[in-house]
Amino acid sequence: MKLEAVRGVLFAAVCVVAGGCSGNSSSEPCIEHNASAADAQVPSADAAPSTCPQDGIRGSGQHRLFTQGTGGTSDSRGVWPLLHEWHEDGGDAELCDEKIFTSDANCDGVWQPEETPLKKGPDALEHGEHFLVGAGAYVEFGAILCEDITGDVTFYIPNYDEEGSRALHQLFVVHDGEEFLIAEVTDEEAGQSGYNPFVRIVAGNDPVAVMGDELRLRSTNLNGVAFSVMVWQPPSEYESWVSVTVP
Amino acid sequence: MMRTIAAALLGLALAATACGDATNTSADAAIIYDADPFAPDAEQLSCAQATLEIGRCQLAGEGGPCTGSLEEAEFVAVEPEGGRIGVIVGPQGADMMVLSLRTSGIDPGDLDNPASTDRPDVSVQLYRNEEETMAHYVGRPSFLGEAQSQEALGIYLVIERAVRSGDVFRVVAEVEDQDGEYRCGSLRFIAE
Repeated sequence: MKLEAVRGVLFAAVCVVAGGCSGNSSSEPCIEHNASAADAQVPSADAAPSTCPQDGIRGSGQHRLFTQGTGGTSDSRGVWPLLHEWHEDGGDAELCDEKIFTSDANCDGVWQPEETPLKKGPDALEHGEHFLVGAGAYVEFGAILCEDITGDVTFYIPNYDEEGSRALHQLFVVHDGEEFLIAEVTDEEAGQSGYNPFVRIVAGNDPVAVMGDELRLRSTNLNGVAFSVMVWQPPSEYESWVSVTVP
Repeated sequence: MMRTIAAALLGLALAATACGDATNTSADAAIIYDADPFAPDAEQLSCAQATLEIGRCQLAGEGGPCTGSLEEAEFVAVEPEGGRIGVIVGPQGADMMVLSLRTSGIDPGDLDNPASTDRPDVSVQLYRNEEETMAHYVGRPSFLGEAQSQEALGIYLVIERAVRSGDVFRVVAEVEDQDGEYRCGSLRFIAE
């Protein structure tokens, strides 16, 4: 990832200076206005509180959080990490920056469903999809929040599912054990064995989150038909993630 | 919230198959991924009585393991310490075991909504040879039936590693409803 970090910095620098986006499938350069707007989406290390854990969510802008696979480790509650990678200098440009992480075809710095992830992921990512079979079975992923977030959420959940499956994806802020629902979306899309990404960009409920609260993603099988939250290592478009925004 | 005793049971009390109340909860603790997530807690090991029965899930009339619709499934008791549970092929070819749970006196919560947090929290851990974690189910299945006999049918344990016929497994299950009623059980069995 160190090499990737260098690439990311270089790509971002090139994009700002030259007005072009790295990884852009289009040969058209980004216009200056959009490139600047995109840069503003990248989290700032300056805002990081001293007590915020390394993988905590902090700094104004968009944060992309990756689901850990079954090859990794869950905590004692069975909650898997939502991986949020920062570098030693506090920066995490390439995984949160659309110009780096995706094709960002329209160069607006805001990911759109038709824009393809460019096979990048956090170092700690381990392979292994989470199978949910039987109604009520669920899997949870969590990360520590160090700052308040808005209700703007993107769900990108590629999945293996058998025909007829229904799955509910919910994103919460957990404060003192109480869950506050930010957003929920239901995947009823057909996609048998397709690993098709289920994508929703949602303006959900704006929570009041404080340092130490937990951001928790829960995916639940609603009707019993087999479903999985896809996790793929090496990183690919089959890796699930959500994004949230610190105002 | 759910009290996780499964790993502690396996690590320090494998001989004990009965479980009782426990008082510690980690649900509200901050996430600390670097720490040993399964460090045993003395209070969590204080199992006194079995309150949750673990069995197979079987299709009524047909006798095969549960797959697909559970409308005609039934709980089938497994002989303690050496009974057999079959392996079926799960999603994408993974091995899978289908269990059922039976208890009493818990609040089943909202039976119409599988995502409702009013339902009892269920955690089921599967170990091979008493130490190798093979599967972990978490969910809020439907507990159906009268208060004196409530059954959750179709607890699917998806196993990512190959299972050999004759492998010895232990499964540890915990249930806690939203009123704090807690049940747990353990079963040692042979895969077939």
